[in-house]
Amino acid sequence: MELKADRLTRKYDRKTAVDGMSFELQKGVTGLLGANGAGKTTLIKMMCGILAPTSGEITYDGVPVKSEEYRNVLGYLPQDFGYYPDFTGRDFLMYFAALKGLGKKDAKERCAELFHLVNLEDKADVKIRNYSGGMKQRIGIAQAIINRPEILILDEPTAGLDPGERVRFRNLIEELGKESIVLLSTHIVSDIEHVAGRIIMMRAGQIIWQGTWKEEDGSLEDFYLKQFESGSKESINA
Amino acid sequence: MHKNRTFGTLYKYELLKIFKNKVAVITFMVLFIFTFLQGEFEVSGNVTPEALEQYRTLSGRAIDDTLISELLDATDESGRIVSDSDIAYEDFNDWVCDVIGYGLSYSDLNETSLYQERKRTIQEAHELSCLTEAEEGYWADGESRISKPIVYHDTVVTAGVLEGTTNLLIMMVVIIATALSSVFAMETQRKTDPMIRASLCGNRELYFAKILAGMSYVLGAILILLGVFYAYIGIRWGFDGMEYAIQTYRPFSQMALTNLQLAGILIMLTILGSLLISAFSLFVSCITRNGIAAMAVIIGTHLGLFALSSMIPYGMRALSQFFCLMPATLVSSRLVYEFRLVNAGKLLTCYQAAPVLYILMTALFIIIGSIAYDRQVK
Repeated sequence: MELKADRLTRKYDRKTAVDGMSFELQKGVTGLLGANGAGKTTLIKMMCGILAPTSGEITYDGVPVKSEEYRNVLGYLPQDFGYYPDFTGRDFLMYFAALKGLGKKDAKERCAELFHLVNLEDKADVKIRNYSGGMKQRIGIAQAIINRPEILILDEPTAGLDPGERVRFRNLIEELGKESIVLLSTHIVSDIEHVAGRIIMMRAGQIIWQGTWKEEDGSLEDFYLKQFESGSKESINA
Repeated sequence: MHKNRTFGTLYKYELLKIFKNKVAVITFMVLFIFTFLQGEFEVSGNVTPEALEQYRTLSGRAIDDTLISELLDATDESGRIVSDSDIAYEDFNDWVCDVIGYGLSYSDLNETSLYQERKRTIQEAHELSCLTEAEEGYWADGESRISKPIVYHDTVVTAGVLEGTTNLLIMMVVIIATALSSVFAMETQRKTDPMIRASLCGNRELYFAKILAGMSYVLGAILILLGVFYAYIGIRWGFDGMEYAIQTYRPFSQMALTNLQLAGILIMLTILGSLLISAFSLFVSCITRNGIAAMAVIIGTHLGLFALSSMIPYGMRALSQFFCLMPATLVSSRLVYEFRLVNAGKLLTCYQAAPVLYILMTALFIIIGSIAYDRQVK
């Protein structure tokens, strides 16, 4: 189980949003850290096959990102994602279950599991327009994992969650990371500090550091700020 | 992977999205009510029940010297009905006025002059249309199949049915624009597109589920409106006169059809035309990814085609004829006066060529839209 990005570049006119990034992801949670505008979302869109790279390629166990096989094992929660306000939570999940190729029976069972998992059991038949920000975020997370993805990509997934929900979410991500490749993009260090076994730090479309981080290494936030300020491109690759 | 098994579910939810579009549903409901009103006023707006009863005393009579002499007795020199007791001749008199126009005075009116005037007007129309010899031959054959003298029947119900059917297509354009302009655009505007595109069935399968849902909605809507309109007319007024030749309503036509057959043709063209406009609308929604812009393009295109069709000179035959074949112009009883034919191996009238053209254009818009949808991943 290996997701590989090889010399990935994406240019928009004169601006290079992602500049020759290479990395490999294995089972477990990987945190993608970078300030706003670092190129995280562009990278993620390419990894989800919804934005073509200018050059370079992404493969999962040799399968290219544009293939149906890849999309079949992918779960994705974009930053600032949308929903259908007049759909109930159940409609929303059943629709995405169909989009992800789940049969009706499987989809129904999976929906019930997920409503329990994201603590929305009593709101399943309420229209999403009546959900709070945190509830919307949780239904978004549920759609991302409805197909039991082998690759789960989450772009700023904790936005709108209250502290209690954040803890619950971290536990969920930790659990998912045992079976899947999870890439969690954020600019908030505390989101990934305790769950990500591996960290990729980005600045101006490039990797400025990637490697594993343990609690005994000290504060990740301090290290991140140091890397960010120095702009070092040296990889520690611990 | 279980892609095929989920197509039905995707279709169901795409249809649900359209039904959740309040603007579309309200528009449909308003036009549903207008369809009832149209069923009433397309007929009662033009005649009182008493006058209609009087007109029908002449129905079934041949338009010959006997009937014409009765008309002349009932009218003055300028062709006006003189006495209220002769109201039965009012509708027939309108028909005669339509045929003779300014070309013949009432003092010279008889069976021979009336049919000669009709023939002369048709010949003028042929010349204006720059018909080929083959086309002239086609219409000469058509004319020979029209039995004469023409048998009169009032066209109050016929006019209501045929004009009402034309109006239904205009209503459908509004329904289509409000319901389908956002089918693809909403995914961009609601920011659901990235999640959809990253899904297994978010590309081709979803595209066709959206197309099928959009077209089913439109098909359902047009069948309901047509059903309501024809049921109302049938129950309230009956279909008297529909079994008569279309020359009772459109005297210069050389098509050997009854009014009922023409209504059937217009119904078929309204359905196929609505599906063509739907395919175009879905294509525009897919390309523009903006509901308001798509709505403007859909309505603007329909109005533009309607306006342009009468502006393009007959000399630019191919272009002018193509515009005439578009639903905005074609779904009308007036097109029985379109004498230009389409040569597709054999000569076809506009009503014969249009269904084939509409089906081909519908398929073309769906295919081009599918390619565009696939290529929207940048």
